[in-house]
Amino acid sequence: MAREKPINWLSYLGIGLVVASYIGAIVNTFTIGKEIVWTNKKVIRICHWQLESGFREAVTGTIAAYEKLHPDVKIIQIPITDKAYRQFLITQLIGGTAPDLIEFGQLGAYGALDNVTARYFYPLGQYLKQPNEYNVGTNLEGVPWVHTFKHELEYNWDPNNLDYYSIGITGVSQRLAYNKQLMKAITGKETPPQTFREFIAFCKGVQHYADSTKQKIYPIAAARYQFEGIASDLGGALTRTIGLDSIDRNYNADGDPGIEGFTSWVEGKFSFASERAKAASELSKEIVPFLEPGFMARDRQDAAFSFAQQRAVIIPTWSWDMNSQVGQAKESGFDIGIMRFPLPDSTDAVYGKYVEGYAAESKSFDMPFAVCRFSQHPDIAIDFLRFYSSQKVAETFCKKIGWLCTVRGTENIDFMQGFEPSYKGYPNVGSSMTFGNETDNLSFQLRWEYFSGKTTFDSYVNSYSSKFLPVALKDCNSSLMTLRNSLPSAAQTISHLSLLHEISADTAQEAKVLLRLQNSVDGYAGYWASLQAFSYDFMNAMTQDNERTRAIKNELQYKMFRDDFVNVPPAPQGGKP
Amino acid sequence: MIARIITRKRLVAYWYIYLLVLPSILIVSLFSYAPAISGIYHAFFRWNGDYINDFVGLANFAEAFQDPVLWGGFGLIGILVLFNIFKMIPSVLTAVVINRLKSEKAAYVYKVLFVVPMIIPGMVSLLIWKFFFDSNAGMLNLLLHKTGIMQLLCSVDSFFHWGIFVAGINPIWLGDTNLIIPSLIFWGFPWVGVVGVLIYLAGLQNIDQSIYEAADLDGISSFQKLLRIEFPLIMSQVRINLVMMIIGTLQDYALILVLFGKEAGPNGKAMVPGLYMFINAFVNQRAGYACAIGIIMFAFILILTEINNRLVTVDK
Repeated sequence: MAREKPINWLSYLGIGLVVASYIGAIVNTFTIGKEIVWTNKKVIRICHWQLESGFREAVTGTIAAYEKLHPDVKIIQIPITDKAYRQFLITQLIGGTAPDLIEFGQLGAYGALDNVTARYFYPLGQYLKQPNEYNVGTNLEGVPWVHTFKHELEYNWDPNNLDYYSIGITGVSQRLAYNKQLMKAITGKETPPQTFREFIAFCKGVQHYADSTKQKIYPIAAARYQFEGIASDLGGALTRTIGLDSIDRNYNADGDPGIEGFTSWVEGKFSFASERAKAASELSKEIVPFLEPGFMARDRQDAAFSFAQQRAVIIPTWSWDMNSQVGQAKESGFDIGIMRFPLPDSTDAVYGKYVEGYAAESKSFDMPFAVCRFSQHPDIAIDFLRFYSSQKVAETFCKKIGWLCTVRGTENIDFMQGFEPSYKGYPNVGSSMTFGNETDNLSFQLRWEYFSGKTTFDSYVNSYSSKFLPVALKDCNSSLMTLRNSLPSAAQTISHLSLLHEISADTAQEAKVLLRLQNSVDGYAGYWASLQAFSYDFMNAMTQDNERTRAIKNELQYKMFRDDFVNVPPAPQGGKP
Repeated sequence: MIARIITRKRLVAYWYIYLLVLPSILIVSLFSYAPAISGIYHAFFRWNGDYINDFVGLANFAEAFQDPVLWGGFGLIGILVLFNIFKMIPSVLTAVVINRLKSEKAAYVYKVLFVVPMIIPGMVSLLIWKFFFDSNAGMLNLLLHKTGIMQLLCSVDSFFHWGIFVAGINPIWLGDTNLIIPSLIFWGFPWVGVVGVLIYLAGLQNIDQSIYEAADLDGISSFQKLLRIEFPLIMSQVRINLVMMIIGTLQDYALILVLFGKEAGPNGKAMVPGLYMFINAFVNQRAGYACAIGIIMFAFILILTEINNRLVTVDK
């Protein structure tokens, strides 16, 4: 029998590594556990998906400042990549283990449900009526918290749950960032193009420069992420009327452009093939040859990389990306200028007759935080929000991350000046035909084909028109499935059912829809009757008299409830508006 | 049956063995069987993964059987499985070459070199491949240009009028509906899977040296050794890898999600059943429907595995 080989000492190395890893893991677990579990401090967790440059450090700084003021509190930051945030949050909410403070958003179809908001998050209205004590010593001292924000948190008001559920301190706007040195080298000018046609000429100039110098330089660095912004700016400038015409077509006063657009389409008020819709699509497509090839298959950071590498002169950018862009530009040795996307004017031969101009920019807040109902210390979570949104802390925080600050009396970092939103222009009404994942997917899948030049406008529209209805019905039914469990959303349920009733071709199906519609009206009437606001008969009549529905909804939501907030003392003069 | 195997006498005598097995049984039950049973249960419900849970009978299955997106996804899987069978060949050849190395040290070095890439996280290699396909800065287009293959492709294209390869324009591998499936097939070139190679190697090392010696005496060439000795004798391993490949191809959706997003690319061309199940569960909040899709996928895997077991016979 052959003698067995003696075991080499190297063989023990693997076992040693495994044992060392186990010991390391145990020590690590106990160290973390000590901080979280074995501490006498009150622990709260805050999660967000902002992985932009400097953001986590700024949050850490704010947490440290708060913990210094409150030594009995420990706050743990949980950054999650945006690609996984939705799944993380939904599973955490359903599992009952969600963090105390949650960056509100990305919940998709789930988050669009009003009952989900009310189910998982604390209403903050009662706190917003009180002054923020962390503003003592500033010109916001004694001012109700809600009035310390520019626009009084208008966009954070939840019209269906009749309260505020989140608070944000940063604003949003979109601009074009350009490489000053590269622009001067190519055009000989330091100023960017001012009109749409100048912009097109400039882009062609860049292409000519790239060809003649044999350099790989594109006019616009872009990925799908950036293109969405361009299409929204350009296409939107021509379709405000479509959006305005569609407003509240379903008479539920929620201002949701998707389902209202669908209703408008069902009623024949809107057509994908209309001249205006065509012009909007063609206008966006006119920019496509100047974008980096394959932009629809690229990620946002790929475009940022091209811009930083000076392989493109311009990049469409949102305010939240600017800090990273500026940092990268500094490393690459160039300066950044900011401009708005020039729109065609009324004299433009092709688009002039449709152009309606810029829309008023959004007053919405970026990065709003909400307090989860699972929180063991909601008082601390709300107090941290007060601290974080106080004038001095908010200003410092926003300057660190390089975002727009929306707390009154605060100043923005220099490079944010070009991002100051303009509220002049058309109402910012979308003309979207997406109101769920299925319609969203369809829109994206077909637009990709069209904008990449694979299909003509006519075949794009034909394809869209033929595929839209079944997909829209899926989304409509998905919404209905969950809306019915939400009493405040009964009005939404009725409008969805009315829509299904209107388009139903199947008699048996229609009977079912009608029955559900009647039941919903009963539930709706019962809900409002319990508020002693209106009688059953009156509510029942609402399905026949849509104008009255709208009046009632407006009266109830914006008078009975929002008046509470409108009537609190106004903000003092002197602070920056 | 279990009661007959686990008698009281045995339990008392070997209690410590059962105790050692217990944690594994509990963990497997909790994390593998319980979710699967819950999935089967919820497939018959209109369930949003949370509080809405209405019994709907077979409605989810009826919908799934009429869902063109789902069946389109199975079509794509069929194509990928077919090509993945061919993509297994390089792994077999690599294992054979390593096994035939005369120097044991060299064989050891090669084995280590094959294992080392396993420490690279899957997501990293996925992003590297994505960059490889990038139409502007990617290696693939650069290679095609440098080697002159692009010119050849453009000539072939102009002859057949495909409209995919046009001179002066870089093909968009991950953004052109015509190139998405070829890109997915090309993915992972030269298709030498680390785990696959190791499994084949384990099989090859079990082949008795005397068989090779007898073959040498018979004057059999290297290629014939591969066909007549090595390949037939590693059929057990081939079968294992085939099953794993089928399961992997049917279940995997991370690749598609990272490359094309939840929309699965232009026209949803890259939609696979796994991604569709994921979207329904976590985006559409139709967890009940997603469970039904999961069960259909399970049935497919079972059928394909059974076919594989019947067709790929192992000569003992």
